[in-house]
Amino acid sequence: MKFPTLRPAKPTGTLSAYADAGHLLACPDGVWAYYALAGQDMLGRTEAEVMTVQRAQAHRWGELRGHRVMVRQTSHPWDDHAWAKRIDREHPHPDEKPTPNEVSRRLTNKPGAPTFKDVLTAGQAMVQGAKRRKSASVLGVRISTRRIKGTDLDVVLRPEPVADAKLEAIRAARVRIDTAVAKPGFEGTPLAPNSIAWLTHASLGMGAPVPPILLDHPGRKSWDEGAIAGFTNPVQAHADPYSLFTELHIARESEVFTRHVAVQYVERFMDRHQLSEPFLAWTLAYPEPLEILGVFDVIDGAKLKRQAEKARRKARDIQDHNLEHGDDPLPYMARGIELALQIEDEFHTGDTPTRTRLRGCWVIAVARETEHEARGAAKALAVAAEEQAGAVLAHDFGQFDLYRAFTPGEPFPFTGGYQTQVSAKYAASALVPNVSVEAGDPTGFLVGPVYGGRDMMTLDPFGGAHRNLSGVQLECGNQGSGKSALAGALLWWTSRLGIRTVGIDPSGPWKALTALPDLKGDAHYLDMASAAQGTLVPSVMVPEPRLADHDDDRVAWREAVASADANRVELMVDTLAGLLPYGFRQEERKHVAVLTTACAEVGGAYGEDPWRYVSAVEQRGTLGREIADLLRAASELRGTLVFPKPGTEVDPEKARRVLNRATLTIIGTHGLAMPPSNRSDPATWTPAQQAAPAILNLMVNLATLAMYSDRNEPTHVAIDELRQVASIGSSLPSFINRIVTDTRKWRAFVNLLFHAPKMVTDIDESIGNLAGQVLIGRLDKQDAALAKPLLRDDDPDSLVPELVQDQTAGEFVVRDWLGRRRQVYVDQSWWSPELLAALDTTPGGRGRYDDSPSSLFGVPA
Amino acid sequence: MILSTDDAAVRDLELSWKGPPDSPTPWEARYSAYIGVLVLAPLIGFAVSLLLFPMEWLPWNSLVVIALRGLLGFVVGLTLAILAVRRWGVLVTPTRTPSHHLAVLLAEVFTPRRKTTTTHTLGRSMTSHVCVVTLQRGKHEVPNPEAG
Repeated sequence: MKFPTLRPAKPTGTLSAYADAGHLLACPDGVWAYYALAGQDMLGRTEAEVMTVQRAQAHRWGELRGHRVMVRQTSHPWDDHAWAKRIDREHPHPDEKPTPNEVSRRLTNKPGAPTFKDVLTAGQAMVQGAKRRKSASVLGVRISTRRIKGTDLDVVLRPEPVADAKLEAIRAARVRIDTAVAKPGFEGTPLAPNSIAWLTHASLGMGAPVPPILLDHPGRKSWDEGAIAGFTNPVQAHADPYSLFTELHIARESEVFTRHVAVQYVERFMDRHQLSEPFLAWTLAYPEPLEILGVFDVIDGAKLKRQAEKARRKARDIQDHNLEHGDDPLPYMARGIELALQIEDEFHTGDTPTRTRLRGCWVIAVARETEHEARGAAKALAVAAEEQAGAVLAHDFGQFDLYRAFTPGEPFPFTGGYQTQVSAKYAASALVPNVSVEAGDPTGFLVGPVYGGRDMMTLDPFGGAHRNLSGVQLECGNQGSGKSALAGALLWWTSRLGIRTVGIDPSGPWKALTALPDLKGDAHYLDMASAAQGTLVPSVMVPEPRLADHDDDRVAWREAVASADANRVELMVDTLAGLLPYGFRQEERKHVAVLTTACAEVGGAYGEDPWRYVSAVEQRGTLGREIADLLRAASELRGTLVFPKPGTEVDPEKARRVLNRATLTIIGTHGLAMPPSNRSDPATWTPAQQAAPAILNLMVNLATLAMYSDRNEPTHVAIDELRQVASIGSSLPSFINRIVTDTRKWRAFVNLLFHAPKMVTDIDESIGNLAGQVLIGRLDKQDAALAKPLLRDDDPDSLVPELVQDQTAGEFVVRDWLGRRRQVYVDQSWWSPELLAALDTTPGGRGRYDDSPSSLFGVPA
Repeated sequence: MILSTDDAAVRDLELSWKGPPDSPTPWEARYSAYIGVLVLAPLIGFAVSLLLFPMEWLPWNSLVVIALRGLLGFVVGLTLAILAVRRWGVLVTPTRTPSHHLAVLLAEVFTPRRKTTTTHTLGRSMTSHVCVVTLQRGKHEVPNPEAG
């Protein structure tokens, strides 16, 4: 039993820490080092992956034996202001001075239309209304119990050994701990002084914002005792005798915030399955902001053998005493004995992670404006924690000291009570300090909330290109899943930023984007039915590689030229075959051989006249003449886009001029006959519908031509209804492979939409590995299982299929550019009314059907 | 695999005594309760015996008075100690140890109250610019946030 020492009250104007350098704090109880931990993706991983992370973390705890450790989980409001500022800075107004080497492309504001500032403001309002927060995990390790001078911290930070033996011992410990924390499991990096300052402000002024002006100047590397006042001056804290709350008055800029802080101990962690949701993951998803603190000693079990033996003997004594008196020992006594035996065994024979123990206290704080609210919040938290997270909380006295303990450098008021002892294995399962639900990119389009936490996903369409990954995104989902709406919103977003954007839209929802008031004059709709003859000549749909684009590497360039020639031949063969009547193709199987040999003979030169191929086919005997006649007939009907007027030269730049007409180009097929969605057998289609896949395939290639204008200029291409072109032959897989490679080199984002995974896996089985980012919306049961390969999920027990089936409109399971799997909801509340109306594909309009209980009895809501 | 903390073995088991095996007591109490009574009973008994000082004026032999005061003190002290332990002993649990209660008492005694002044006044920070201040002996240096 430990007795506390008498000590005077700590004036609220002081801190225990008296100096800081780098990630080190000098405190009366020793030198502490603080680390920011990389977010661990525990929620979207397979069982095997989770266990790998747990094993790594258990070893990391083992490496920290002999040290006191602090785990701090906190959160701050999602910085919508920083998001808006960054977007505005990276895409400046055309009238503003552009950044060097960068031309401002952002569209000018149109009269009567939402301005770009309105767009950013709406996004900020959505984030603030949704109360999104970003979590952060900090690990503090006491590297030495020796008190040193503040100026000696710089010595401890040196990479090379120092002369002073005592400081060298501390320096060596610092190096060892830095190395251990950086290893897999934690992947911690030393916390910057600014971040320590932020955490100190956020802890002292719990519940109040930390304005950037409070933080130390960027140029300063450390702060000393003279800087303490900057932290403590703005905060006045006190507590009434035996009160369950600490009252804070916090001055931030010109406003004073009043907060009542309630701190609860974790009295008990219940038994849990090794793979169930970590406790610190549950706290992330809790609806209200929480502050978590764990302070514990990491102890080698070998030093606890006596404790284990004593526990075993005590349990046995209790059991024997009951037996002596003829009473039945209660089951908890037998469990206690069994557990004590197991612990003793682990201490004697286990490996390092098995033996290692974490003994200390865990506390959770909530801060509210009034005491009444704080009391309610604390009670709600206690109920929820026991019901959902397997942790029993206790709200006890001594609140002021507990509140102060959250501040870096402040000692934890160990009293002998509420101390819990867990194995490193348990800690790795339940107390993963750096659980994260981050998804997406640091900047970009605001998608919506990430499930499992309070974070917000932003999608940078060029996140793949920035990371030297494939810039191909796959969006898959049933009709009504919201994939076209999201893709349409991304088209609008990149158009507003002035980025060349092209969309292929066979079914028509994106046409309305070209009529949006804020894109007026910068968008046009191209209906293929009214396009000029020869717009889709196949030999210009595959661009000619340029030497400059291969860094003057002639070998690579020649290979690229040869590959492009081959692609054009494939495309020509597929196109000509697709223009032939379906019945003819089915009856006469040799037409492919005839077309292939004829096209190969002509070759795949850029800008080759399609009529030359027809002439070559005609030389191939009776069958060849028949095929040539059919092609000439087709050129007058559905093939006018493919064949220019006979005798006219092919204009290789015609297609590019079409795409360069405006920032946003939507290519539709309103006037063309499209295959019906309810009949998959081409034999049941009309001749015009049978030719549609070939035309669509050419349109897809046309859209991607926009990528190759300028290597430094970003391009966004979206292709809807990919199933329509899935029946095309070998040129589509070549197209997919080409864009996967070229989006990395050409700063392009290509978004492919389709109804079912099978449509894409039929084109290329490995497409899940080729795509940089994948979004899976709601799918039927038979399709849901096929979503796993696209998400790179090979866990046979994965719950992804069930998750995907149960999704509602707007919900997606995402594998982002970094391979993290999350579930997100696309929040449309910040989209302008015009954009919402343009992308609404629900028959009868948005919100037509009301299933709310108030309307169940026929009474209007 | 089900994981448990060590607490069920290390912390949560409490020793209690039911008396000798051949003559069990009609009650069962924790060892900590017995210790509590053993500590409190003499203290309370001593205080009670002091309060019984008017018995000195009884026309009895002084030794008898002393013995009587002692006996009454013992009985009353023991009774009050048992009642006190029964009433407040429930506050002592494996998680709320006696040291915890003592530490909380001390913490509450020394906790800053509503009128406690701080080292620096709150008013100084009620400006539009709050920044880290370096205090040097003899002079104050306020960095200009605009200087970057």
